[in-house]
Amino acid sequence: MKNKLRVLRAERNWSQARLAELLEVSRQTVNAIENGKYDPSLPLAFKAAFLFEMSIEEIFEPSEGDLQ
Amino acid sequence: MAWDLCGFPQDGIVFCITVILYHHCAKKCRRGGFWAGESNICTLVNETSLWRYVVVMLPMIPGIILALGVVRASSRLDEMERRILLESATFSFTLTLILLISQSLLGLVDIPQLGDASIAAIMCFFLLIGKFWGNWRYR
Repeated sequence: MKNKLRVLRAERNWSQARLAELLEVSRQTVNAIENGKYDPSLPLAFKAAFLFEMSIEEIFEPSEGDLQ
Repeated sequence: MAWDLCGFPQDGIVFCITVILYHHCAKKCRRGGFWAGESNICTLVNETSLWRYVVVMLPMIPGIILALGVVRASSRLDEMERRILLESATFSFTLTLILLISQSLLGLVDIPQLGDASIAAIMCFFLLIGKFWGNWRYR
């Protein structure tokens, strides 16, 4: 799954640690999500969407393999 | 199994002494003292007494505290950390199971068997490897 988390975070001048704090997860988790190594759960995705005041689809988009 | 509660007062006193001795032995013996102290203490209690079972189960008290600590610590983990822990536990459990089956098969050709403490240590070692592997994978 691709995501715009890194871009959105950079726009707000937030560090990974700051975003992790706001999402109540570890910095490692934020880093893994940004690098596409880990797909967040639906509650976490909703939390991120709520935080950035966007819809889930605007932040996360499925890659080609996800839809097959 | 006959539960001997008739000697309650005497055994109660022995029980209290054993607890004190137990802690003393556990403190004194740095290596394997925990279990060595336990086996020495068991010889002091009447073989037919209920207290014998209580004394034998004494090492489980720190074990229970440890287990509660582990549960509490794991409940504080976030979803990815929990996933890494689950994967490493599965990895550890599977490898230990394979190791135990292999070991019991090798026992048929007189290969020395591992003790319980060694198996627990191996399981912890595999869990640690799994944890490192998980952290590397999701880095």
